[in-house]
Amino acid sequence: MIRGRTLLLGILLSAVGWQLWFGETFSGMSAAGLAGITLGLGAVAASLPSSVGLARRAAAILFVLAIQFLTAHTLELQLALWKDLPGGAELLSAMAHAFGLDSAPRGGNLVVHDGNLLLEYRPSLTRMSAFILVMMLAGLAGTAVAVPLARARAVLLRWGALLCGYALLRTLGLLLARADLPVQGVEVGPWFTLLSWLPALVLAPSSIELKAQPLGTPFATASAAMALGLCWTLAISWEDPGRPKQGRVMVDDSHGDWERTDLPFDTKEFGRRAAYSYGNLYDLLGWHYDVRRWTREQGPITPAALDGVDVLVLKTPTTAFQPQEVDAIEAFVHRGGGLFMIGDHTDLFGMTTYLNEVSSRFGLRLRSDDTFDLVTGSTTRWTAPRWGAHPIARLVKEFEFETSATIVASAGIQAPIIGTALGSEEADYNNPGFFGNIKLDPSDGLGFFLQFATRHVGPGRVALSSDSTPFSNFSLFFPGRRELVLATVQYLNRESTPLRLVSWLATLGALLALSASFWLRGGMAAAGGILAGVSLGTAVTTLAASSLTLPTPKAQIPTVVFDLDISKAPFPPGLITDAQYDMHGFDTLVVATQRLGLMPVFSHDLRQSLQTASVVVLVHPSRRLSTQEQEELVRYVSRGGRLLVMDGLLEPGSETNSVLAPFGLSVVRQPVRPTAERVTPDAEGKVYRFTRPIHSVAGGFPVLMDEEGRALYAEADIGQGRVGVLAESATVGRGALGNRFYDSPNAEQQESYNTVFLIFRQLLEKRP
Amino acid sequence: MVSDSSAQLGEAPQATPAQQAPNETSGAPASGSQVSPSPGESPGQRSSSEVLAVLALPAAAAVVATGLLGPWSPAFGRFCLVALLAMQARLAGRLIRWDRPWSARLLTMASLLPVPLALAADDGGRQTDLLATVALSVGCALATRGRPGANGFQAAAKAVVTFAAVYLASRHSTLVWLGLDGLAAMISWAASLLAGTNLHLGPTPSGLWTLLLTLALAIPPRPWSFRQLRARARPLLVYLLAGVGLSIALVAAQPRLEELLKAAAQGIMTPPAYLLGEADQPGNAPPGAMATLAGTFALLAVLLPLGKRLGVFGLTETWPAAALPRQAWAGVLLVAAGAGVLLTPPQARPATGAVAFHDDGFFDFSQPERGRYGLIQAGLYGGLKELLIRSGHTVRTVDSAAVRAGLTDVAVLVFINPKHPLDPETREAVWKFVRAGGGLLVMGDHTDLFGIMAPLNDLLSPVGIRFEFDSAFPLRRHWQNSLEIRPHPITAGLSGSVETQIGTGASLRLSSATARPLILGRYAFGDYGNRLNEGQGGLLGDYRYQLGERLGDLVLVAGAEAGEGRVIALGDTSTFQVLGLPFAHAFIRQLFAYLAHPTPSRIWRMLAGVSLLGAGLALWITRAGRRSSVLPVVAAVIAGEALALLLPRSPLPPLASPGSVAVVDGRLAPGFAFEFFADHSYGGLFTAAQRAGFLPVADRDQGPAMLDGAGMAMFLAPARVPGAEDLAALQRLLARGGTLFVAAGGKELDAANTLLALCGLRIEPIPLGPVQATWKGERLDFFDAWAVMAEEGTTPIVHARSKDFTVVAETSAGGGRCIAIGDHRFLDDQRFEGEKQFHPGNVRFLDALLAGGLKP
Repeated sequence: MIRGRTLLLGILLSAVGWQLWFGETFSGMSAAGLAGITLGLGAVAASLPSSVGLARRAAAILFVLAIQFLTAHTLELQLALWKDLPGGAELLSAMAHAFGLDSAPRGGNLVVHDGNLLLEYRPSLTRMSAFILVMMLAGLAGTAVAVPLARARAVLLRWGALLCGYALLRTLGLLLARADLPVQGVEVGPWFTLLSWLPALVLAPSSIELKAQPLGTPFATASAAMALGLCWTLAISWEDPGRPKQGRVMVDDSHGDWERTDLPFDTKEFGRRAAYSYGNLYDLLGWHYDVRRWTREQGPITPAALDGVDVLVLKTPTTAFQPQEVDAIEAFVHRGGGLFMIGDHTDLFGMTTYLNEVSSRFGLRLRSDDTFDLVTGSTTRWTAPRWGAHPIARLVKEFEFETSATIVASAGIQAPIIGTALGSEEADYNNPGFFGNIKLDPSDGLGFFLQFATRHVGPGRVALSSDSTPFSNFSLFFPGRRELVLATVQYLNRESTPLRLVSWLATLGALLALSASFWLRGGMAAAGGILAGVSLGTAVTTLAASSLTLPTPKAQIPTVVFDLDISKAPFPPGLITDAQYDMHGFDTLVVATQRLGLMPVFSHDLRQSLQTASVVVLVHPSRRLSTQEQEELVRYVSRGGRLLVMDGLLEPGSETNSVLAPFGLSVVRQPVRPTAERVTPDAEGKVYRFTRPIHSVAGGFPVLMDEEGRALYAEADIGQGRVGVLAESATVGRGALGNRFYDSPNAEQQESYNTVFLIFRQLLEKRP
Repeated sequence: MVSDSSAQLGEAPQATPAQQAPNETSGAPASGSQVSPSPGESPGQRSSSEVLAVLALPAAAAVVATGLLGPWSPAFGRFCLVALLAMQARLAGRLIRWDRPWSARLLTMASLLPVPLALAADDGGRQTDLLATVALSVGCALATRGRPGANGFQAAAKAVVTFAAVYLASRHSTLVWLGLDGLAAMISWAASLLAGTNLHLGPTPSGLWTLLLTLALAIPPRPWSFRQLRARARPLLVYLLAGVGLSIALVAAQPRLEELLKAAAQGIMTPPAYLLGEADQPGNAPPGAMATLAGTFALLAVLLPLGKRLGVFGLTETWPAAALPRQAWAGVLLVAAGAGVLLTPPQARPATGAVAFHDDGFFDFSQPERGRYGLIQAGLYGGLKELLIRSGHTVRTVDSAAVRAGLTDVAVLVFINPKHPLDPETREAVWKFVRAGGGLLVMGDHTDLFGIMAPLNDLLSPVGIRFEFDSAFPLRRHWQNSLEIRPHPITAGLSGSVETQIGTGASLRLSSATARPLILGRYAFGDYGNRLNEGQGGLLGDYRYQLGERLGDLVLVAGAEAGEGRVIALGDTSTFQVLGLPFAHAFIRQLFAYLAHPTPSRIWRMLAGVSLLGAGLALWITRAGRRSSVLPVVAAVIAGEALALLLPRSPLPPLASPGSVAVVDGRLAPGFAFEFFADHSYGGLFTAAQRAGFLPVADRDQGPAMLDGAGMAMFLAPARVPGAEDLAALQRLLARGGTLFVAAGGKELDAANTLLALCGLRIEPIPLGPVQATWKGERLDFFDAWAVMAEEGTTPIVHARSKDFTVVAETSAGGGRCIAIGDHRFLDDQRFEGEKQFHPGNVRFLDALLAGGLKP
């Protein structure tokens, strides 16, 4: 007999562990999640009777682990797609009424009057703890197959009903106590989740029988398990590699003036309009594809306009599409065209409304909401999953949103980016930008959300991004943005083939294999089979996904590489205005280089950078270069490469001079003695002196000097290349240049910009 | 059946002769049971945790049923109660004997019948929840009677019944209440010695109720039997000392315990850093709220195992049940009837007579008026005067000379914040008036404001009511779930803070059994006043609980009878002021109706009640036998109390001159909170209605009946679609020339458009966002506007538009007016008229709109 409550406790612990691992409501707790999973599976093993040997226990654990792993991956997408239980608000309202709470359903939410208090409550699936519930059911099903249990389906039905009933009562209890509890902690706190599920153990049967005589041969069991693992893996992560197209891209500039592609972004045009434009995006696409724009003057988008186009980019429309335009775009996609739609939060300027006119033809819509991180309350950051990532996601790896909306989609989509631990609040038309209060309220959504989705439409493909800001000039070249744009266009520049149906077939196959598993004997055959299936599936999907790579540029792109390997300086990627970055933040410098026609790139591999970069920038070097690296750096410069090294008083690079030594340059720290005068006249007339350190450059040719003749920026020509040294990095920090989002620089900031432009022009200048 | 008293609770049954022999009392032998125990278990073998659960579940249910675990939502309390009762029933279900005679089964079923009945009835005072707990506990004990291991249910039932009896007695009897308060004071005193601090806790936070409950578990079957007591003296004494000692220790540790609990709650709920310190976080939890909860759990967790170990719960009970002769049961029924007759509160009678307000030169009948905006200066008692007149009273002011001259035509005399002590002659005249059958209402305020304490305390000294130099400060904002409302004619139908609108006032001290607490601040503390905090500080303290301040069970409203007259004293005046009145109108009307009538002679009712009670007791004593438990009799008294409680009460008569009443809907889940000076509060809506000449009253439970007496119906962002009866009532309202006012946005289209369909208007799902409009050269600001449109064939009067869209429109329908505003946030206090700020254009616009002064 299996100890029922121990088993349920183990499954609950592992479910909470998986929730933490996937970060549904709480990010940054992967280690705790792993501990929860381990503890939980340990408890599952302990629940088995002593008659079950060690090998069989291990097999059972492995099988349950595999099932939970696949279920969690499936759930992540499904809970991003299905946020609410149909009729859930009505059901909960009726139940709450029975207990004396005045509540009424309204648009999927509940309006609750609890004594003095009014609150709007959204009974979403996340609030109903659907992740935990399904993971527990999956754990039970895994155990039922792996051990296996007697009358497994009856046991599962009974336990399933019990757990579903408990989940409903738990939701009801939390609703009834809603006004008395803190919102945030209760709805996202893992401890609270665990504690609030513990009473379910009391309801569990104390013991469960094992199957006396398991059916099936080990071969049949292993085959079914392998089929299950393979099919499930393919169902989760298969993506049709597709057939490449010619790479003819058209960007629609005809629906509004927001994020235009034809505005200059140079050393003269500053301010919001220049910052929020897609000029650099257009250039980036042009470096890799044949790109053109469709302007208002050319009239509505027609089928003829889309002739000879492989990928159409619709971005941030602030005027409506005519029905004929929508029809033309739909037909274009059905013919095999690629459509990239870029929207933004809170229906700003009507973008969501207008874009949804098109996207809804393909089963995708943007919500009129904005998102925030449940833990930090700020903008959200996504990192690619460790397993089963979409081909686009494999190429992007990380992405910092700058307040996205969320996506509603029907089944059958692919989800390159699923946001975790997100809060989503409806637009508040009373606030600037239509943002809400950017904190979790009972009416807000939370959990997993789609932030970037793709879909096959016959041979065509569509992609929808819920945030437009990261592709603006001031953000485009920060980590993940450029990669996402290029990977998406590259993905859309492929025509889908019948292989796109593999995931549907795999889903069907997984369901059949799962059903068959209940008749089989479990044990090591099942564990080995499912692991083999998952491994095989992973190999197949990885192979298919690896056919998508970032495009190679048509010609050499002038790039400035900001090193993150030996440098020690922050380049805040998001819309962060924290004053801590005023002196040390160099994100504005990065954007300033774009104004000179350079493409900034961030690199964690200095040696890799030296292969392609026009300019390499080292800020506050803090790691000693190896001999090999030093030699390569010298070779890079000698071949004609440009190297800019920056040091600073507040954050001096410990290895600045060792990097500069081969070039005969160094940064010198000198004490300077300013004279201080007393505010109150001193009868004795003493002179007071202080000292303060100041950096200057020794060696090379001084380009910028202070009044006392100290070199603040100096250069040295080495072979065909050049090395520049800036003694004080704060000169080009955010404090000097202002933020990069939309500010127009004042006179002082303009001077700092001039310094930046001068330094890079000097560096890049061709000299005889 | 009398079992071996040495049998330990929960252990395998000892084969005593009494148990072996089937008899009438125990029914069929256990072998005939249809209970199917788990494999390896026999019905009598109950695990230790199960035994403790049998005792703990009913005990916890009793505490939850009475709302003693903290200022939690009653709905959540009821949810927990149902869960506890269900678990209790499940445990009992495993022992129930289904093979009993029909009469026994019927008795079991009948004992459980009050459970659903009580849970279905919501008296707000939670007595019905307690009744359900008592019924289920007794039912479980009866149903499992005679089964091995069932004596835990009997011990639990005994404790619950005892607890309920004391609890209900304390709600009816000032003496009992004073006694309990005295016991709490003794616990506080002992704890103060132990902790080296000054503590002053009421019965609830001192854990007295849980202590009583746990001690009641150990009451022997016949506590009056000296022999039995002596035989059990040692374990009982240890148990008693442990309980009292633990209670004292918990009170002494309360401040520290509270900090620990807050930290634990904070850790468990893991809020992100940016939310720490917000008001809804446990780090800012109010004092006493969690300590009570923790104390209860600590007492149950320690005393139950201890009692089990000592064997104090192992004393078996005498449960005559079906074995009793019918006459004895008839006696029980007569006792219940007698209790019901005695405890039934008098029905409210229509208000009559004059109400005289004592005016010492400062009385203020002001109400909102045009040109004076900001809720802080909305006015004081003008609305009260209007309400009283519409309720059938006449209203006037009197000075001391008039009082001395005799108040022959006055029914109720009102003192509000008297600033000067009455001279002895006037004081004597007042009490002469009261003793002759007059009603006296005395209202004061917090912290000796305006020097009112001395006049008030002097005036009320004959009935032993004193104002304290403090402000009763609730643990939850606006007294949310913090009040204990006691049964009385003036509190009938009240369920919480919304209907009483008590604000910040003084607590009252009762020094005589003449006075009776009617409304308590159960979860509150008496914040000491500060005489240095003068001027706008109002002599208020620091709003923080300090050791030494009274914590819990503060008297906020007290009543007394003197001669044939009645006295009500309130430590606060907010209820009667302009903003309190729309929600508290029923409470106010009941209060004045009660005061306006002399205390009727209750001699006949008392005679009838006592006769029934006496007859019932006599029957019981003579027929049930000397050895029978008194619990059925106590349970019968409780049932009588419940019967009295569940009797339908006569509704308040409709208000006179209905055309000038504005009913503000609170039934259709409106988008405003039932409080003021908070998010989502709409105080300006009420003052605007008053400026337009209406008396605004909020309707939370009456609906069409109230609408039939209204001149204007106001709906603000209703979420619930109105029913046919509501719509019919609104059509009648329009037909008699009334006004239908609807302000809503895009989220409430279903409900709002159902209302507006009566007059050919609708709000379209077209968001306009924040927009401006112009009216008479003034700027109007709308904040979350939606387009208002007219149905085909209807020509609306457009009052405000932005670009091509109408935001405020009016139509005529059936002789009345229909007004639609496509933005309910237009009336939000933060934007329309708040405590100190207002939007001049918007306010003047609405004034003109409601008064009908706008021209197309």
